[in-house]
Amino acid sequence: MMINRKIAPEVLPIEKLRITEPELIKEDGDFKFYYLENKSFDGFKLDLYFDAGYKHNTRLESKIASNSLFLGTSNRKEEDIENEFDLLGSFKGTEVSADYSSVSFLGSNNNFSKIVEIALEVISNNKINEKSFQQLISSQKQTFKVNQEKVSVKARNLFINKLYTSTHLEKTIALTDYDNVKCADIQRFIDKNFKKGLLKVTLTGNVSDEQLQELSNHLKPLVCNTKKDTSIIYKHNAGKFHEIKEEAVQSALRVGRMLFNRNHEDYPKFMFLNTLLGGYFGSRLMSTLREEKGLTYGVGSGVAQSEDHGYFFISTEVKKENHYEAIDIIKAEIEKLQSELVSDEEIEKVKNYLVGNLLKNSDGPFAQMSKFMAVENMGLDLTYYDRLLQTYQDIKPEEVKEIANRYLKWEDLLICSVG
Amino acid sequence: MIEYNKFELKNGLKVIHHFDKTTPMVVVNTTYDVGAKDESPERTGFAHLFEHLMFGGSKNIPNFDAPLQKAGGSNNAFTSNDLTNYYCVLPKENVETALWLESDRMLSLAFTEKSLEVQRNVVIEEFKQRYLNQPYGDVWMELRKLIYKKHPYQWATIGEKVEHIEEATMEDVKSFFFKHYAPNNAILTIAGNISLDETKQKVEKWYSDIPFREVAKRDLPQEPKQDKFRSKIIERKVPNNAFYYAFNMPGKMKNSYAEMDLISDILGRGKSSRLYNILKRKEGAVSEINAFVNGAQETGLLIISGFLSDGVSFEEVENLIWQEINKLKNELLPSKELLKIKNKFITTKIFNEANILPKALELSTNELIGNIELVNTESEIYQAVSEQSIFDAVKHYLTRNNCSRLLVKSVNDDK
Repeated sequence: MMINRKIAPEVLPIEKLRITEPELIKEDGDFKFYYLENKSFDGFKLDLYFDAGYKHNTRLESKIASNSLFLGTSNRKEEDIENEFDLLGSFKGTEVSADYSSVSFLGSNNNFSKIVEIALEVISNNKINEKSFQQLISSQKQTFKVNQEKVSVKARNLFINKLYTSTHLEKTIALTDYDNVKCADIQRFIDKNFKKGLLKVTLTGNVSDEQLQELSNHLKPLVCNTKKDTSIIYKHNAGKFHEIKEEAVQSALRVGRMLFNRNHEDYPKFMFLNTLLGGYFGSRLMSTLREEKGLTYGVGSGVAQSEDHGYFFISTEVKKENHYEAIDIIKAEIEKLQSELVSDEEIEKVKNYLVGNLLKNSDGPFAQMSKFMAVENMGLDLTYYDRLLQTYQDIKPEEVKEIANRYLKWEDLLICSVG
Repeated sequence: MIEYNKFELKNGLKVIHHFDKTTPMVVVNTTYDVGAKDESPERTGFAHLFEHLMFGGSKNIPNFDAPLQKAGGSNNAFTSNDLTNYYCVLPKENVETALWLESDRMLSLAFTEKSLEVQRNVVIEEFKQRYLNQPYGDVWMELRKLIYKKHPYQWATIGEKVEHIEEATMEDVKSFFFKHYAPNNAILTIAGNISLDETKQKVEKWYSDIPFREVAKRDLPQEPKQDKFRSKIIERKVPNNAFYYAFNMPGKMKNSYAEMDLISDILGRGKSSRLYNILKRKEGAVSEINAFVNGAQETGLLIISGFLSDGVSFEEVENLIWQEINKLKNELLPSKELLKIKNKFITTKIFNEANILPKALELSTNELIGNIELVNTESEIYQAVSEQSIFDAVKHYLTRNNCSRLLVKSVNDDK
C-alpha cells in the first residue's frame, strides 16, 4: 500500500465519555459510603475521608495526626500493626488536604475482609505510643531539612504564605514547630477528629453484599454525620516577593492568584485557558520557556481546588541567570492571550487534547471513582463533565481572550521566586 | 494472565499485541534496544539527549506533539542504562495517528540545528534540576564510578558531565541514530481495544517501508568480578549524613534475581522490614532506611541506603547492618516472613496490571530481555523462592568482598 507520510491520518470522532456512577451504599447526614463494583480485577481500594483537613486546623497538626494513625492502639504495638498489614499483602497511605485527612488501603480481593477489619480496628482504637511518636517527629524533621534545600519547596511555601495572608492558612510548617508538638495534643486531635470524624468512604473492588454489610458495621463507630463549618475569608493578595538562595543553580518561580473552584460558572472556560497557557506539553509556556528558549526542564500551570476556594498557579524552575527573563516571558505570554485571538487551529488542538485527556483520566474503576468524588465533594454530580466537555466544544477565541483579560491581569497576580 | 500475540515484519520489527476491551484508550509503545550502556565514554548522556531529539521533528513531520494532541493523545519517553522507551496513549479510534508519528521518526529524524540547540539546553537544565541542584542529587554518579571500573554502567543516564552534552554535534547525533535506531532493533507493543487483524494491517501499512539497518553490534566491556570491599567518602552541603551499600547481583530475571529482590524486601521494604525494625524503630540510629534492587539488565545491584540520625556514627550503623545480614546467614527465614513478602509482591503485581500502559511496558521489557512469557511466569518464579534459596543467595552475594560503600558526610555537621 502506498502511503503518504506527509499527510496526517484523519482524526476520527472519539467515544463518548462514560463514567459509571458508584452505588451509594449508606448515607447518614453528611456521611456517605460509595461502592464501585469491578469484576475484572483482583484488587480493591478503600478510601476513608476524615473531617481533619488543615482548613480547620494547623497544617502541622493535621499532618502529624495523619502520620500517627498507625502508631499504636490500646492493645497493639506499632510494629505489630505494620507486620499485620504486610502479612496480608496490603498497602496503606495517608494524605492531607485542606478539606480532608484521608487514609487509603489497597490489597487483593481475597484478603479484603481481614484487611478492612484490622484497618478500622486500628483507627478506632488508636493510642499513640510515645516512643514511636518521638521517632516520627525525628524523621519528619530530617525530611523537612532535606526539603528546605529544594528551591521548588521554598518557592511553594513562599507562594502559599503570600496567597493566604491574613488567614490561618498562611502559616507553613517551620522546623521549630516540630519541637513544640506534643503527643498528648495529637492524641486529643485524633480522638476528636478521626474517631468520630469519618465523613466519606469509597470502595472499589469485587465484594459480596455480606462483605459490604460487614464493612458498614465496622465503619459505624467512626461516622460523623455533620461536617464542621468553615468561615475563612479568602483575600485577594498580589505582589512580587523574592527569597535568595545563594548556592542554587536554578530559581523556582510561582506565579498565580486566588481564583475559584469548579463550582464557578467561569471555571470550564478558565480551564481551557489554563491548558492553553501552561496545562499540557504543547502549551504556550512550554513552547516558549522550554522548546524555544531552553530555559527550563518543565513549566506547568493549574488550578488547585478545595470545597470552598481555588487558586491558579504557574510553576517552574529556570536557569538562575535567566530568572528575570523567564518572568518577562510569562508576562508576555499572558499579555498575548489578552490582546491576540487564538487561532481556530490551536483551539481545536487544545480541545481535542482535553477531550482525549479526560477520557484517559477516567479510564478504569479507580480513575472513575476519583472523577466521581472530585465533583461529589463540591456538591456536583457527573453531569458536570458533560457541561465541561460542551464548553470545550463550543469555546470561541473571543471568549478565551475575555477570560484572560478578566482573570490574569498582571497587577492581580502574585509573583514569588526563590533562587 | 496477560494474553498476547507476537509477530515480526520482514524488516525485523517485532510487534506485540495485547487485547483489552475494558479501555477506550490504546497504547502504542516503542522500545529501542539502546541505552546509556551503549555510549562511548567520551560522549555520555547521549542516549538520553537523543530521546529528547526524537521529539524535534522527523523526516516528514515537523512537530511530533501537536498532531498527537490533536488526536486526543499524550506521550512520554524515558531512557535507562539499558533501553530507550517511547509511549503514546490515545483514544483507540486514532491509533493510526500514533503509528504514523512513531514510524516516521523510526524512518528518520529531521536533524535540525535548532532542535539540537534547544534540546541541549533543556537537557542541561534537567541535569541541574534533578542532579546538581538537589540534595544528594549526584550520589548515584559517585556510586556508579565506585562499583564499575570497566563496564559502561559506570556513568548515569543523564551523563558523566555537562560538557559531554554541551559538546554534542550534529554529526554525533546522526551517527547515533543510524547506529541504533532501526526496526530490527525495536519492539512495538500495541495494547487496547484493537483486534489483532487491525493491528497487523495498520502496522504493515506504516512500518513495512522502513529499511532494515545494520545496527552496532553490542560488545560491552565486562566488569571483572569484585573481590574486595570498596569505600568512598564524599562531603556535601546536605542536612543529614547518608550511606549507600551496593552489592553486585545477577541481571533482571536471571538466576537468583527473584531471591535477591525478595531479600531486599525482607531487609528494607516498608515498616515491618528487618532493617527498619532494628535500625530505626529499636535503635533510632537512622531516620530513614531502604533496601531495593535496581533491575538493571546486564548485571544488577542490591542497595541498602539511608540517613543517619543526629549524633549517630557511620560505624554504629554499619555494624547493625552487617549484624542483620549475618542473621540471615545463620538461620533460615521463618516461613511466615517469606509469605509476608510474597503477599506484598502479589498485591503489587495485581495493581501493576490494572492499566494498559504498565501492561504494555511489561510485555515490551520482557521481550527485550528475551523472555516475553515472563509476564505470566514471573509470579511462579517468585512463589518458587524458598527459605533455602534465600539462604544460599544471601551467603553468596551479601558478602563484604562483594560490597561497595559510599558515605555522604554532611559538611554542615560540626559534631
